[in-house]
Amino acid sequence: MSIEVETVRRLFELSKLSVAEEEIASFQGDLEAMLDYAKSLEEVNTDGVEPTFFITPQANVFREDVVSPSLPSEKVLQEAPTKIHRYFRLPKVIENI
Amino acid sequence: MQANRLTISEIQAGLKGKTLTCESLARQYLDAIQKHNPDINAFLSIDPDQVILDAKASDQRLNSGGAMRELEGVFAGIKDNIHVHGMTTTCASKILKGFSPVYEATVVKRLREAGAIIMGKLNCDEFAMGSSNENSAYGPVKNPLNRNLVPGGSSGGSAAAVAAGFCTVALGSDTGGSIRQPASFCSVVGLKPTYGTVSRRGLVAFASSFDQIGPLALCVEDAMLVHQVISGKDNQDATSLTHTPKWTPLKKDTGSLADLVVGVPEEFMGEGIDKEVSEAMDQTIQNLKKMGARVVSVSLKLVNRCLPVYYILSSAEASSNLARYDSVRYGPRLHEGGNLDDLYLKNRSLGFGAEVKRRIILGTYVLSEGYYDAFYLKAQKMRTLIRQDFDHAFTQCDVLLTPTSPFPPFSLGAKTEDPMAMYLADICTVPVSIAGLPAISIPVPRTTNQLPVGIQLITPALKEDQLFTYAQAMEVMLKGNHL
Repeated sequence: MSIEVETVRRLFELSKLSVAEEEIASFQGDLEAMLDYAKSLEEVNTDGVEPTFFITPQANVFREDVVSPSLPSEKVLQEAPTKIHRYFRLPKVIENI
Repeated sequence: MQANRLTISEIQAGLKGKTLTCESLARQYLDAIQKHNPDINAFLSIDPDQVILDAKASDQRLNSGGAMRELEGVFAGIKDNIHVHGMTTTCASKILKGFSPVYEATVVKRLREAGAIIMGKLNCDEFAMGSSNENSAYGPVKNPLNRNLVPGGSSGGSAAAVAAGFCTVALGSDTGGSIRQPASFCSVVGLKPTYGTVSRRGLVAFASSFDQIGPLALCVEDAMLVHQVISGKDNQDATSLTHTPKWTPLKKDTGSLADLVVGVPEEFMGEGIDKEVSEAMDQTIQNLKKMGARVVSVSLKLVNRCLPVYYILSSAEASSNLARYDSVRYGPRLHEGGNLDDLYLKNRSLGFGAEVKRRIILGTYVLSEGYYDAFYLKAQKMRTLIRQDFDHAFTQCDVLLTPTSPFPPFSLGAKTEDPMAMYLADICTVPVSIAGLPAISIPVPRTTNQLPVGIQLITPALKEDQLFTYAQAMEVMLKGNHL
């Protein structure tokens, strides 16, 4: 199954990953090989078969709606590479304010 | 026998008889680590002072009349995708370098409550993606049985640590074979429990409909003892099952296997299985028959479809699970500057290795509009058929027997350039993961110049009690009959 170079670029973009020009061909080849393999599933008839999205018989798991303590904010922020006061610090997203 | 090769029951007998202390045991493990870990590279982080402190505390407790707890005197290594209080969790990735979790995994808490001492964090393939432990950002692990060989993956550090006598037992995680395959490569026992029996609170998610935590150990009994402690409902993991069976200790005198019906899937006996592995399987089957078991041929006709199904589903789940690594809330900032999009892009690109990227883009592809039905939905339907295959096989036998890996451990570097060849390493383990069943790999004893081979036993879901019983009987049988 052939995959366009543009498609590979777009997949990286959608995945919030960058890719060097010289790496594209190798990712493209690997993706093509995997998709060829995946395409072979077409040979199996699955008409009328229900998909299994989850493998245990469990459905929704509910709990009592009671308030319990969450992690304190200093713990939540403990591993943030940049923070200010009680917030994660990010590059400015909205221009000209 | 060296103390760092003792099983749990041997350790506890030593503690009871005062011929052994936790501290002396700790020092033996630490010595082995100091001597051999720099080359084997199984442990990524360890705090020897803490280990000694914990060991002394256990000794004091026992000396002052404290009861022997289930895992008293057990030193456990933990795969580096499971959170341990006070230690980093890197998932063998640059994107989590130096990351300190703010809570401890339920399985680790349960180990500590049962008396186990946490030894340190074990190397693995990055985000548990790989079959040789060569995808670690912190260097590959070497197989302690032969250092030119890979230890298997992704829980390669866990298998190597147990095999090298660095700890009594280890925890790994298994998504498509990541406990069983390295167990077979390093000649130790590895259990993948039924999906939902062990809490994943504190396990870094890779493919959530597959991931399970399980033990690697020197013998079946040790794996059982650890599984008994870590399994059971946890309110902090909604996928953990309410009904988790407990089992009674096994009988040791399992000399006969009369009445047992062992099913051998014909698909695992021919093409694609290395000669050495086939020979070990044949010998095992002959021995089983001698012990009175009935061996029948069964068919899992969709086995050759399992790898694509697995890679579609697990990569789709991974692409979604790994979207959380944004270098904003945790993890190191590997690149500064630019706008928010640049921040995500540059940090994720620098942080993830090639295999992780491959799986993310494959997952993104199969989930994207226009391809969802053809790949993702198709694979979920296949999952139904594969489960039915197993259900059908279990109408003909009590337990399934397969090789754990189609080939013995290979040389470091032999498959790193060919991802598809690497994926084949999981061909015997992936079907079980797709169906959510329990399976255990036990080593087939070999002569010193032969490569390690493991066999895999599979039972229906939640039948771990039977799995342990059969596995221990076969372990006794195999130990008495060197192939």
